[in-house]
Amino acid sequence: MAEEATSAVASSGYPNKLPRPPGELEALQKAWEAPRGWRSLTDINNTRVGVWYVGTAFVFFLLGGILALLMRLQLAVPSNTFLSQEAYNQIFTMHGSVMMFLFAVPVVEALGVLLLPQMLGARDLPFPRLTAFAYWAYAIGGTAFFLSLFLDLAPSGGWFMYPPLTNSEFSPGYGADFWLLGIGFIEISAIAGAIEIIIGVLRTRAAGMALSRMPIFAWSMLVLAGIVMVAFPSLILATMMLELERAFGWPFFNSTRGGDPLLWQHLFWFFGHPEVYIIFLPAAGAVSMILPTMAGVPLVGYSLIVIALVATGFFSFGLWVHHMFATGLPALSQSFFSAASMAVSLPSGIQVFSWIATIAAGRLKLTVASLFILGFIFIFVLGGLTGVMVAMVPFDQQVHDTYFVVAHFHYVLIGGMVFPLFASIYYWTPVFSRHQLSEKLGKWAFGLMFIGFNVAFFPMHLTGLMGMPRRVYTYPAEVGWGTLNMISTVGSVAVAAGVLLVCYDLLRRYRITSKETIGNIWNAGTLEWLPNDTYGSRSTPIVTSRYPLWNDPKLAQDVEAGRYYLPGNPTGGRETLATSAIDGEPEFVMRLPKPGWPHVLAAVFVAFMFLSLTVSLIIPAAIFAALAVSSILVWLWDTDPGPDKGLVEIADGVRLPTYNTGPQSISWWAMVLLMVVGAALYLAYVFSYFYLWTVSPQVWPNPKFREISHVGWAIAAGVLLVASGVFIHLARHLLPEPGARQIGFPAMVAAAAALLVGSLAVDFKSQLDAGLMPSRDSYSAMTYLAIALQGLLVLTLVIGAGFVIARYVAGKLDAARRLSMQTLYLLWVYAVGQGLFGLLLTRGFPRLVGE
Amino acid sequence: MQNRRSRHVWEFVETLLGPIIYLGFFGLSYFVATLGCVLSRGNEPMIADPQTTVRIAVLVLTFLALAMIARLTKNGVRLLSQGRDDREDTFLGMLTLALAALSALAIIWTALPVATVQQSC
Repeated sequence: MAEEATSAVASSGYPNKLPRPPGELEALQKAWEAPRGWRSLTDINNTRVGVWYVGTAFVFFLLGGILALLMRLQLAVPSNTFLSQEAYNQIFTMHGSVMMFLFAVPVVEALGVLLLPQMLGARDLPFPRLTAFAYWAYAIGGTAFFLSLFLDLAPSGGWFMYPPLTNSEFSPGYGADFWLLGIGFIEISAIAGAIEIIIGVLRTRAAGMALSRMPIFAWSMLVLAGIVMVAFPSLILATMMLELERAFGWPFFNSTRGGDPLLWQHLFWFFGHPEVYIIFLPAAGAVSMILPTMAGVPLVGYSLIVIALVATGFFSFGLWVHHMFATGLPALSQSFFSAASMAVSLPSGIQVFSWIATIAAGRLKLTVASLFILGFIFIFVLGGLTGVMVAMVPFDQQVHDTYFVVAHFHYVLIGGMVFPLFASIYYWTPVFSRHQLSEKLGKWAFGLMFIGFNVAFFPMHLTGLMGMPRRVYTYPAEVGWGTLNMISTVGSVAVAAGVLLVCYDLLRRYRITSKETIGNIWNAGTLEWLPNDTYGSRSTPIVTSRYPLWNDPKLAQDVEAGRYYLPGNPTGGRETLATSAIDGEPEFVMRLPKPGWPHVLAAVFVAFMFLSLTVSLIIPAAIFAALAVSSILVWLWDTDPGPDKGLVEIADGVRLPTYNTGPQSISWWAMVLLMVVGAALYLAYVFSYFYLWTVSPQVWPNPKFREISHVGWAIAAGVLLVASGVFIHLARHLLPEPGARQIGFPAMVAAAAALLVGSLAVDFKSQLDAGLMPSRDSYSAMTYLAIALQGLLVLTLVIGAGFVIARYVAGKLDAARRLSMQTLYLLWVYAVGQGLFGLLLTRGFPRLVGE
Repeated sequence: MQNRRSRHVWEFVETLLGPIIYLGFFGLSYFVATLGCVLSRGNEPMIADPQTTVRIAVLVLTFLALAMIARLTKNGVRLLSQGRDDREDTFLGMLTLALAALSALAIIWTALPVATVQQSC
């Protein structure tokens, strides 16, 4: 296909001739028309959902900022009584949680949703309904979580929720449950967004946009999404474990029954440290996009920045223990993490030098966006330097849990993320708005924020070195921290004033539009600056450089005229070009769904399910779960359109298929990525299992002294698992040709599901018969947790089996139209593998160490 | 065309191998250090001298990891020398080499404490 494409370009100069057929543009507009009125809530287009997403995250940023101001007011003078101790605890917990989970992570994913399709030359992301689901899940879950503050149900154990402070004995009530279930829910939304971003970046780039020509922002989003997929499952597992401990007494973190509170810290920080890079890398990606435009030269060291992004992504997983240097871990283990924490400064340094070189190579226009970037470099480098300081174990032990650390991470997070975000707002507003934001007001806002930030946070280094601990709601006058705290409070008010100015300007000037935007006012070189509508750009350009608009000044005009690929909608619906992952060569025309209610309802029901679980309403939770599953099944029903449209023309003489299966299809990619998430979750479980064994080997059974489930049951469960895998494999081969029937197919799928359930039942029953109770000790709890994790997979697969049987009965599944079966099969194989490994671990390991 | 695409996919995976080797080395070193401490506890410890055991194990891991990185570097150099006409080959070859070099540095840097820290547990 790509060879045809190349020859078309070579012969006529453009893939398409002009004039374009009458009605082509109107058909495209009609297919991408945004729903109106109430139905606008069902919209899935990335420009609208992206703006909602960024807007909602920004609202949470303002709310989190108000909480910060309340804290600063409380700490402004010694022995202040403005807030009570409990209110202060709730506020600092909510401030951290809101800023990290409801603002920082969502806003970077939101920027990806908003910008990536345009930047990559796609019409939309590959799973627009999943994006919209992720948004609604986040918006509803986030709002419910924040409202807990007004119902006196807010958590007060810190944004990291360390047990034993957060177990049911020391944190009674629903506060901690709100955090655990609310954050777990929001994490699922983040993972959904990450899968979408990876497939979007790798499979929907414009023709010719090979990896070596991909915008740095897309690279950074790719690395971000990879980190989210591996890091977040660890926190999901941790929240599940703590909630099981709180609700049912499974003692994962209770040291009296073989648990260990430090396990929580390991799992939390395995997520928590990469989270810093999740936040920072996209911001760095945005800086790498804005600086070349403002300096008027290509980015210096493009390849070096790619290397730095990828290296940072990987290295970020070797740093988590540096948050735990004061917990008494062995000296050698601490040293490994100390070394890794210093090593990560190398790739970060590469990026900073590349930016400085870009500024030096060009002539920087001092716009508001440029100012925020200069501010970012200054503040982030300072934060990085104190980061190297706290990476050293002896220094960290001195300043641990003091305001020095508060100053350090605010320099990193506000400098490294908030300043680039504001630069992005000023830079990219013309892509989506009728008006540019005011440069004059923006400069005032920058001045207030930059000076205010340093006035607020620099003194905290000193208060920290003077010994002021974090999370105290007040302090006596005699300790001498009053003046510095007052200075910090004044600085924070200045920051707030700066943010308010930006809000005022946004309200005054920002007018969202998909047409008649002011356009490329900065003379930028990347594709998001092409003329846009709800369908993205009229046609998809062929990219031949990293800055296509600089390379071809007529590109915008030609794209708008429809001279490039896919100037219309040949299937009659919404579609985008799917290209190969590395070379960006056109592979097929991906058909995209239209707006609808099922994904919105699914998000609402899932949110209500989590809320019901939070307040221990089990029956309503089960009802909402059933409703959520039903909505998801309705949503998935039409996601496999089949090959009925055949080949369609995307340019003169260039025809591409409209359907693909196997590794070329995007659903295959989505399922493989979901399996990576599942494997990361299970790996966190395996780590926890071995960790608890090293801490409390005495609770692991010794077959000589304590009864342990007979090995025959484990073998039986394993045989059933393998048999279910064999049956589902055979079922795949029984799929009939289109129009034919094969009764063996549904029977085989049903039998495979029954065998899978049987395997789980045998495993569960034999443990129960051996007298194992999950609340007895950490070994028992870990054993039942393995069964619970496998049970979740089995439940999903049983529902999936019912779904494919229903599709077969409805005539929507056959040998040609088989995406749903293909994805089910992949997950099935994974479940068999995980199940066998789980049996080996929970049945084999105690025998190995107990003999 | 299909061959070139598949080749590029594998080359892309190869670029990530350097950091993956580093992470594997890091995880295993941490595991070995922890296990060494666990097995040296109690009245009848399985390891009498965890310090030496951990040192030897980490040294072996370091050599293994560096050998794998060296192998990867060789592939990267071959890719760069063969792929002068192919932009993606050159780009991915350079990525492989640079990431391998960064990973090798990180491996050596992480292994250093084994020689300098006097007490393992």
